[in-house]
Amino acid sequence: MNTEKSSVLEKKDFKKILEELKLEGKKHLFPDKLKISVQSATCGKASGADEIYSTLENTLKDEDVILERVGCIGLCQQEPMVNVYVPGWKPVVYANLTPKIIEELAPQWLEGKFPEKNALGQLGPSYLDDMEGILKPVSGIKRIEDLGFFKKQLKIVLRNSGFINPLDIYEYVARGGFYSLYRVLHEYEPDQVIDDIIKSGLRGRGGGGFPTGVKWQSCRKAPGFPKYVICNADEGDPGAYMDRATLEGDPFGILEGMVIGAYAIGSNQGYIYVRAEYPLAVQTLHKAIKIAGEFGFLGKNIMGKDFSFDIKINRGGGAFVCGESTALMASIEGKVGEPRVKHIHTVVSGLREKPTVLNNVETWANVPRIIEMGVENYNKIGTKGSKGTKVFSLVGNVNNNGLVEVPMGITLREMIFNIGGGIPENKKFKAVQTGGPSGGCIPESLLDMPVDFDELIKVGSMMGSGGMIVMDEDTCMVDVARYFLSFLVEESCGKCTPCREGTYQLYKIVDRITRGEGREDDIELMEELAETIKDASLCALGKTAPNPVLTTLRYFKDEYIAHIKEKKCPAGVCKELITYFIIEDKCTACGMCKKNCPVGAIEGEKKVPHKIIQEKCTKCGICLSVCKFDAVVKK
Amino acid sequence: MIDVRESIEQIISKYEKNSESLIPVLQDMQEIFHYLPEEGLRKVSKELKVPLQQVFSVATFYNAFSLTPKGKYIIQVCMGTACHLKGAQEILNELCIKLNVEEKEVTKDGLFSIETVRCLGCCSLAPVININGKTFGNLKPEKVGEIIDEYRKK
Amino acid sequence: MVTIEIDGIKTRVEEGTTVLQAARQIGIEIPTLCYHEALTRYASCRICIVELSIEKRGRMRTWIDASCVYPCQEGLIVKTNSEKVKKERKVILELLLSRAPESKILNELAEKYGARKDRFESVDKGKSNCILCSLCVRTCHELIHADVIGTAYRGIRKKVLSPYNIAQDVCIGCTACAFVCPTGAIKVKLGKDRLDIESWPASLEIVKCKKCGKPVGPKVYIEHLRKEVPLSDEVFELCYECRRKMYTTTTWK
Repeated sequence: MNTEKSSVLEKKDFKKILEELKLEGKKHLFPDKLKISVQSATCGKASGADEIYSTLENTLKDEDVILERVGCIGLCQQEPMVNVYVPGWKPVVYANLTPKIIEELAPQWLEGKFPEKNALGQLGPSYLDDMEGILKPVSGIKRIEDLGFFKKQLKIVLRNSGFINPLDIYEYVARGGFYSLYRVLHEYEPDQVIDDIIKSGLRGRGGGGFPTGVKWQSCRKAPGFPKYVICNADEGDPGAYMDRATLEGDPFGILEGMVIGAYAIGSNQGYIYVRAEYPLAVQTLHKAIKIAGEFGFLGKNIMGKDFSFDIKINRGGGAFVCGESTALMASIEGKVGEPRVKHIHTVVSGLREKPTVLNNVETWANVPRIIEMGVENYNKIGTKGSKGTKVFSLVGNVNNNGLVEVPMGITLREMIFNIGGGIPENKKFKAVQTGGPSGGCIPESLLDMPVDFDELIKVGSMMGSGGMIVMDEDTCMVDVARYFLSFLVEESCGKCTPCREGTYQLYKIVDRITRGEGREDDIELMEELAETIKDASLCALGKTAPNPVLTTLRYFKDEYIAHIKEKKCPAGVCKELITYFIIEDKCTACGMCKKNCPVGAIEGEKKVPHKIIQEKCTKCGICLSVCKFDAVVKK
Repeated sequence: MIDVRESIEQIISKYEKNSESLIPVLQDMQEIFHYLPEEGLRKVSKELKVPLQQVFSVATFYNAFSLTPKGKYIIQVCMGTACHLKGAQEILNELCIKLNVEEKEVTKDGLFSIETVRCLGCCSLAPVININGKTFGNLKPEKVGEIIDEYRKK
Repeated sequence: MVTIEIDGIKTRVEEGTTVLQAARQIGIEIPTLCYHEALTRYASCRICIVELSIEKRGRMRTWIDASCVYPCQEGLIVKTNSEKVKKERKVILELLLSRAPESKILNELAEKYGARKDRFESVDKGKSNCILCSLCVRTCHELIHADVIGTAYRGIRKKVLSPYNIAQDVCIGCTACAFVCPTGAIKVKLGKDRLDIESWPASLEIVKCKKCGKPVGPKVYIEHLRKEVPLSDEVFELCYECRRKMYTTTTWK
C-alpha cells in the first residue's frame, strides 16, 4: 500500500491522484472476494460487535475473505449488525446478531448465499452510487431504503457512516471525498466559498442555528492574525450522539469541511475539541488526521497549493459547559470552562483573543457536500428558513431507536410514528423532548409541526444539537423537569449568580414538588425565578436553563397542580407519591419478590400471601419486575 | 509501584511548558495514577509556571479529574435522558446498595468506585453502565449483581 | 464619540465606555458588587443589570445585560431602573442574601429593592457569607501577584480557598482580600503576636515597632515591601504613629 501511495503522490497532479484513489477505493468497497463489515461504533461495541468480529475471525480463519470494522448506519437498536458483500451482488445488512447466528450464517455467505434469517435489508442507491445498476439485487430481501426506518431519511452527513471503512481514505475518495476540496482550492477564491455557504442557507447544527456563511464572513473581515478554526465535538446533550457516530464513522468528511472553511477565512490552524467520554472518536480522529496528512489533504501545501492547515485535537475534561463556545476556547487555553461575556463576538476575538470560527461537527460535515451538490440543489432540501437535513438521535420510548437524518420540515409525527415506528407496547405518546437541557417538551397537540429552527423556538423549545427523546404516558413531566434541572445544577460553571444560585433554587422547588412537598405559590415562584435566570444569566447555558420547566409548565400544568394540590403523581413515577402493593388474591407466595428485595422490605412465609413493609420500601420496583403473577401493583 | 516523581516528569516532558498544556498534562496524570496526587499538582505548577491556585482550580473544575484515588474498576452509570427514562436511577441505587458505597466513593477493598456520567452515547441500549471501558446495555437492576460478581472473580 | 440615552437623558460618551461608566458620568448610580475599577471585569454578580435597547435592521431589540461590561454604541437606549430591572435585581438580591444574609451592603440594597432575606436557603445555609464575586481572587492575582487563593469546584459547590493550605507559604498578609470583600466574609484577626486570616487559613508573625512595641505588620509583608519599595529601614521598623512623629520632627521644620 505504501509504495502505491508514494508513487501516486509523486505525480503531484491532484486531479489525477484523486482519480487513481477513487479507482482503488472502488476496489476496496466492492472487492473480488467476500467482504464482511462489522458495524463497530461505540453503540455497536456495547451491543457485542467485538464478539461478532472475533467469531467471524474464527469461523473464517482459513478463508480468503475481507473482514473489517465500519461505523454504524443508524439503526442502533438492532445492533450488532454486519454488511455482507458477495462480489457482483448488492451488499446485505444482517442485524440482531449473536455469535451463534454468525456461526450459522457465515458458511452460507461463503457460498455466495443470502439467507433471509436476520437479514435487515440490502443497500441501494443511497450507498451504491453508480454500482446500483451494476450489482445484482438479491431476491427475497427488502431494500434498506424501503424500510420504515430509512424511507423518509435523506443521508447527506451520514451517507458514509456504517458503509465505508472510516479510516480507508481510498473509500472516502471513491464516494466523492476530497473532490470538493479540490474544486475549492483550484477554482474558488475564499470569498466565493463564503458566498456559496451563505447562499446555501446552512445554519449551525450545534444548537445556535446561526447562519454559517455569515459567521465565516465576519471572521474573514475581522482584523487580526492568526485566525483559528474550531470543530466543537463536545456533544454534551444527554441523549444526543449524532456527532459521535460521524466522528467514528466518517472522520474524513469533517476534516475536509474544516480545510475548506479554513481556506475561506484565512486560517492555518484548527482544533477539534472532543469530549473525554468519546475515546474511540478521539482515536479515530488522530488516525484520520495522520492519514489525511500523508496523502496531502492536510498539513503543508495542501493538494500542492500554496495553502497550509494543521489540526490539533483537544480532549474535554468532562464539563457540559465546555460545549459553549467561549468556555470551550477557555478550556483549550488551559483554563476552567467559564464562559465570557457574549457581546464580544468570537469571530472577532475568540481563541487567544484572535478571530475564530467555531462550528459543530455536523455543520463542518455538511460543507463538502454542499460544494459537491451545488447551492441550488441544497436549497431544494428543507424549508425556507432551515435548509438541508438534520441528524437526530431518536431515542426513548420509541420502537426504532437510532440515528436519523431527515430533510428539515418533516413533521414530528412522521419522525416518531413513521420513522420511529411508534411507541412500544402500544402505549400512548405523551411528549417529545428536543434540544437537550436547553430545549423543551412538545405535547401531542403539536405533533404535526414541521421540524425547523424557527418553528421549534415558536413553541418554546429549540433544535439544539438534535436530541429527540420520545416520552410515553408513563413519564412524569415534573420528574422530567427535575431531571434536566439536576443536570444543569451539576454542570453550571458557577460564575454568575442567576445560573449558579437560581437554577439550584429552581431545582429545589421542583424536587420538593416531586416529593409531595409542593406549596400553593410554587408555580408563581418558579415563573419569577425562571424569568430572572433567563434574562440575567451570562451565557446560553443559564439563559436556557429554565426552558424544561417553562415548557412543561406551559403544556403540562395539570401535572404540576396534581403534584402540588393533590400530592399525586398521575404517571406513577415520583417515588414519594407512589406505593407498591401486593394483591393478596394474586399472590402465590412463590417468594421471588422477597428474595430479590434489596432492603428486605417484604415479609411472608410459605403459602402465606406476602406483604410489603411500606416503611422499609425504597420504591425500586424490583418486586414488580420479578413477579410472574402480576400480584405486585404500583399506585 | 509507580515512581510518582519520575512519571510526572515523563508526562510533562511530552508537552510545551506553558499554561495551555495544563489540561492535557492533568489528563495524562489522571490516566496513569487514577487520580491527581498533590505532589503532581505542585510539580505541574512549577514546571508549567502556572500558580498552584490555578492548577487546583482546573483540577477541581472538570469531572475527569479526581483528587482522591478511584477504585480499580470504575463503574460509570449513564444518567443521560434516555437512560433516566429507562430506569438509570434504579441501577445506580442497586449498585450503591450492593457495594455498600455512595457515589464517588471507593469500596473498602479498593475494587470499585461508582460515578455518574452524562451521557455515554449509547442511548438505544438504555440504561447503560461502563466499567473500565466496557459497556453494558439493556440493564435491569437484577442483572447488576451478576456483573459485579463477575468482576470480583477476576 | 457616540450618543446614547440613559433613563431618558441623552448624553455623548467616548465609544467603548461601559454603560456603568457612562451612567456614573451623568450622576446615575447603578449598584455593583463584583466590579472594581482596578481589576479585570468579571460580570458575574449580575446586580448591575440594566435594560438595553437598540434598533437593528428596522426592529427594536431589547434585552437585559450587565452594565459594568457592556460598551456604549451609537443609538443605545439604557433603562437603569425599569420595572423589569427592579424585579430581577430583587430576585438576584434574594439569591445573594441566601449566601450572605448578614452582609451590610446586601441588606441595604435589599431594603431599597424590597428583597426578602429568607426566601431561599443556600447550599451552605449562608454560613460562608461568600457571594463568589471573586474580588479577593482577582486582587490577589492581578494586583498583589501572590496567588494565594483561587476558586475551586464548579456550580453550586464553587468556593474560594487556598489549595492545600499554601497560604502558609505564599500569603504575605497584606489583607487586601479582606479589604476588597463586599460582604465581610473574610475574617482577619489581629492578635498580639500574630495576624490571622482565618478563611484560608494564614497565620503570620507580626513585626513590632522598634520604638513603642505596637504592631507594624506581618513580617512577610514587611519583607515583601522592603524588596519592592526603596525606602529607608526606619519606615519598615516603626509603627505608623512613630513613623509620623519621626518625619514631622526631623524632616519638616
